[in-house]
Amino acid sequence: MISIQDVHMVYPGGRGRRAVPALLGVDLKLADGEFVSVVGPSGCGKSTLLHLVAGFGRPTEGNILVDGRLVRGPGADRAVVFQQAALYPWLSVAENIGFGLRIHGLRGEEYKRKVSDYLAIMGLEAFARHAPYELSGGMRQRAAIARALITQPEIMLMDEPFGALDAQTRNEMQRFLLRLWRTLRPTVLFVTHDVEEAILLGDRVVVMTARPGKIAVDLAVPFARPREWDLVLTPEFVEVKRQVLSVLRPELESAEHLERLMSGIGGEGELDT
Amino acid sequence: MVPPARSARMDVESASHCPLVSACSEDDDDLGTTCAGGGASTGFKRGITFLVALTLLLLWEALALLHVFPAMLLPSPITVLREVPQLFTVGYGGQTLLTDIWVSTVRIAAGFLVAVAIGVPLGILMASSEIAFRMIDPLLQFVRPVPPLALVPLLVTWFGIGEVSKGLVIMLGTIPVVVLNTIAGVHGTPRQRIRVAQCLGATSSQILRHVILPSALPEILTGMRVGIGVGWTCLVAAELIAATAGLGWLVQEAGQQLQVGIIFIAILAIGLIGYAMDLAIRLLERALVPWKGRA
Ligand SMILES: Nc1ncnc2c1ncn2[C@@H]1O[C@H](COP(=O)(O)OP(=O)(O)O)[C@@H](O)[C@H]1O
Ligand SMILES: [Mg+2]
Repeated sequence: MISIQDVHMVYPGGRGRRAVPALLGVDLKLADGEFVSVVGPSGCGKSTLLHLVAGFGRPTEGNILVDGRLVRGPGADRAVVFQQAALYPWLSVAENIGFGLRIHGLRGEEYKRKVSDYLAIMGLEAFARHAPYELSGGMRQRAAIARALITQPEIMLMDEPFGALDAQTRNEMQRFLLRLWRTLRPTVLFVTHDVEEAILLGDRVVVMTARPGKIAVDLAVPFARPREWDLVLTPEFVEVKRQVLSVLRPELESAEHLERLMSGIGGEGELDT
Repeated sequence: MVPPARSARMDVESASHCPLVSACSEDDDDLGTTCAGGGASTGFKRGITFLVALTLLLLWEALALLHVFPAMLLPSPITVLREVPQLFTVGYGGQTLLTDIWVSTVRIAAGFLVAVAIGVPLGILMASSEIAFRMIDPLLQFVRPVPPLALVPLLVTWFGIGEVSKGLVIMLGTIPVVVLNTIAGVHGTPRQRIRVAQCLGATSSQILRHVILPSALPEILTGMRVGIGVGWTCLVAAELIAATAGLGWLVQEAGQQLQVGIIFIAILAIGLIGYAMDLAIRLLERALVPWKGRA
């Protein structure tokens, strides 16, 4: 259970830079095993929120609790998948996937069995010995997900994990992630800028306002699982999408407005609102 | 060379406790330099290199034949070549060419290895501790622009004409380069690589060993490559001033006797050995960091 309580985040300025208020009082709760998508205009603080939950930094104000405990730094209970797979190029695909196990001193048969299990789940058996840079984007991201999941974290934090993939691969990865989530049941905080993806995957869709971000709306997704890809074609889906967009659109526009304002004053400035 | 970026922006990640972590930049390291020429033109390009070498040799021969300089001052390449066998068998100034090559090679190899053994850990220390950086960096910055040649008299006064002063000259030339590249490599570690390890529960020392060091390896190897070149130059220079054997000494000795042919041969040997060392480290690079420029 993740509990984000009135979290504010201001990136401190200094040396001619204004402080950047990124989050302005975010409240959000994720139940165990829940899949929550976050959408919002770019620069609204989605990554900031996810990084704070990961423990890469501490909020300026407010608290983030995981299972009742204050997040003080990164930990093995919270896996993170970034837009870039960030695999270790000096390790093979199999070694990358097993990295977390080795860190915890696991060796021998159990290590081998787990790694080959995950290679199989990810459909990467044939590439076990390959170097990461020999894989396609989708395969790399699967390896990164496997690396994150192999230590069986309760929580997965995903920051636009499929944002760099082409549409086809993206669809495959979405289906793949859903299957994985159904078997392993981690709590997922999934940041995306793709509204369809957010609805298709999430139990809830959280829409954030333009920076400084706060939660504009928190919408329960009414579709039963397992969901099929053609769900997006149904009128019900389109209706939910319309709801999300009706909140998101004005935010996108105000984000654009803000951007234009900022570029007008050299991109360094900041609104004091 | 990159001093640690003290960015004005404070990050979310500044809360992290590992100083190595907060110092790392977001961008990926790519130093891709190896770009094979297009298939058809590769042969042509190789041919051009050969052609230039041949032209230079012919030019040299022509200059010698035309007696632009007296024959004693500019012997023709063929005359020089004829001197080579004798240099290997009888030698010059009491020892054969092989001895001089051996002496210089052992010096550079030993000096370089010690320099790397000191420089890499020092670079890591300086990259991870601001105090260490502030203590050591001014020293390095001060030593770097001073030509090692200027230090030789001092070193000889303190340590004599023997191997210690040679080793120190090599290290003075090599260590700063290796240190600065190591620092750049550590700071260039993509932040996400570190974060991934943190999220898997890695400790700071595990992150250093399993993430930061391998990430910095390409830069460290670049530092070694540049460093060995600098070290070699420093050594030959030191041998010119104060030595009783070695290729630099050979140049100096032959110079005093106006044995231009031998000077040519010694210089050729210095160049070839430098080239071979560079090649060796490039091969090492290919073996150790096949991902360089690709990830
Ligand atoms: N390390 C940082 N230092 C200063 N400002 C930052 C930093 N990281 C992000 N920001 C700013 O905070 C705002 C939110 O960024 P981010 O969370 O990355 O947005 P999103 O992921 O929604 O696109 C942006 O204006 C961004 O420029
Ligand atoms: Mg982002």
